[in-house]
Amino acid sequence: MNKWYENKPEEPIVIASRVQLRRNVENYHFVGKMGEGEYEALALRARALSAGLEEKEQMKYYSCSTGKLSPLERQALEEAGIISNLLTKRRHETALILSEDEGVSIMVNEEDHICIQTSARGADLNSAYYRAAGIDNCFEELGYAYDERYGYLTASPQNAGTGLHTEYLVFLPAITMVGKLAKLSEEIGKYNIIIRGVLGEGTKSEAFLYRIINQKTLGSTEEEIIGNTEQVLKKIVEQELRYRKLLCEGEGGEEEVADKVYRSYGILRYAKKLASSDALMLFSQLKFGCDLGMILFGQELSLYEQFIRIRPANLQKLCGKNMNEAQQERYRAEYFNRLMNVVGLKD
Amino acid sequence: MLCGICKAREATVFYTEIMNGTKKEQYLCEECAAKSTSLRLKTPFGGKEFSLGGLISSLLEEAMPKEENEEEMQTAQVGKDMVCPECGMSYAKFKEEGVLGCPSCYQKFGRALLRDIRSLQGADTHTGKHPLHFSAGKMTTHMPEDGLSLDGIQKLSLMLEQALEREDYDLAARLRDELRAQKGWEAECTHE
Repeated sequence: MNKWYENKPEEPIVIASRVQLRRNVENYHFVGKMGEGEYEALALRARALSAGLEEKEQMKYYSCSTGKLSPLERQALEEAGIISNLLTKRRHETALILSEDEGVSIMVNEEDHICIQTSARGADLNSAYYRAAGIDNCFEELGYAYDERYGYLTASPQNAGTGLHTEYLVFLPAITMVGKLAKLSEEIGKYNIIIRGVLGEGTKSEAFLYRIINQKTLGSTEEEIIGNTEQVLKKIVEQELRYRKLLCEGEGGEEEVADKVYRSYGILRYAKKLASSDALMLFSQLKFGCDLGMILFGQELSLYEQFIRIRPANLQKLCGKNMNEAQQERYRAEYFNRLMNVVGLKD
Repeated sequence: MLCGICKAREATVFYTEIMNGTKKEQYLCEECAAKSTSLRLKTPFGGKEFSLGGLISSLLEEAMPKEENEEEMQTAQVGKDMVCPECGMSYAKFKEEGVLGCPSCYQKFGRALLRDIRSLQGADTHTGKHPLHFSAGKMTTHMPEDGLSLDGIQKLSLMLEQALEREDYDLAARLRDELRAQKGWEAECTHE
């Protein structure tokens, strides 16, 4: 079965939409205060519900105790965004329930008892949300901690109410290159939306990849939260398109961008060693060139797919053996050297 | 215009005072305003530049003062010492770590937590999805003192309307029955 990100071609700006629903089960303390036996009991109760999900979605679901996975497998899942860093760090019993297409991952005993996470290709928060809401209805059997005033009760009051976090993964090379990211961050902050760099500190990103996330979860309906994030996304996309045009229209602009794109191609084509962050940055430049029609990619170009595939643990899985850092860098370079065979240069 | 008290200097302050329901308005110079009105307690007119912002804030402090400030401070003080009997989590620890110990903490930490939630979220009332089998009578957090809570019948009516809007007739029927029962019970209480 295809993975959720293999079903549709990648869009130039909005790579993916993701939704998180946080829930807790009544008659249990929150995760930080649970008793030893309770972690296991709750994980088992949650895992038992995966059969119902299979029936509902007509798709296979896998579930496991995350502590039983090897450190490499856990790291690979974290790199793919299937589990959080917090879940990998937990010392108590935690569990993962994962759909075959990897579009649904449910973390048990992370910060909250249940965290339902769904992903969809492109700008499609609605699909992601309604999938999550359907699963949420199945999990209600556990008996959620819910309060008429505060809604779904979460360990952190920052997530209370709907318990809903919506997120877009966006590719913003032009806004980054013209130095307008800080201004964008300030503007969208007024709508209670924040921007975070992927693989970077704060708003910085190593590959022009950013997450656009709603901050507030209480006081608005789920539809209003989604609508607000969609509105902000629309503005961001407009700005990115405008700056892409400006970048290419300015004096020497197109040449400047083309120079970066072709240099990236050159390194990816012939380098003998490549670190994960370098490779990602270079491939992002290549995607930008592809979006601008400067290069042709002979197969489906998916930045998201490469973003996961070339990171340390996933690369070792791809290769089928454990590798040290130097071996990984060599293997990564070989991987990209081969991938560049399908790239066609304009003129 | 000359000052209403000294009749010598130019009036620069329009002073309104309401004492025991009687409104008194005067045009005053800065010196007389400082000497003869309650503004002298808070407003440093003498020799310093007069600021409207300063005047307003001092008036606000004068007008709705100590009770609220004291209440605020008391809540903060009481808040620090609060411990949830369900899970043993203290409010002070919550403020340090940002996570609560159990669902009951939301109720036990009462107004202090309500204030935190308002400042975090800019809102304090959930308006979104609820569990399908959520019963309207099952409430855990009551805050009638802030005037935002509805009574049981109002809440049920609101939920009934929402259920009908969503075409959730199953829930609507249950809410209607619950509403009828509550109204009947209330009528009985009134007759007694």
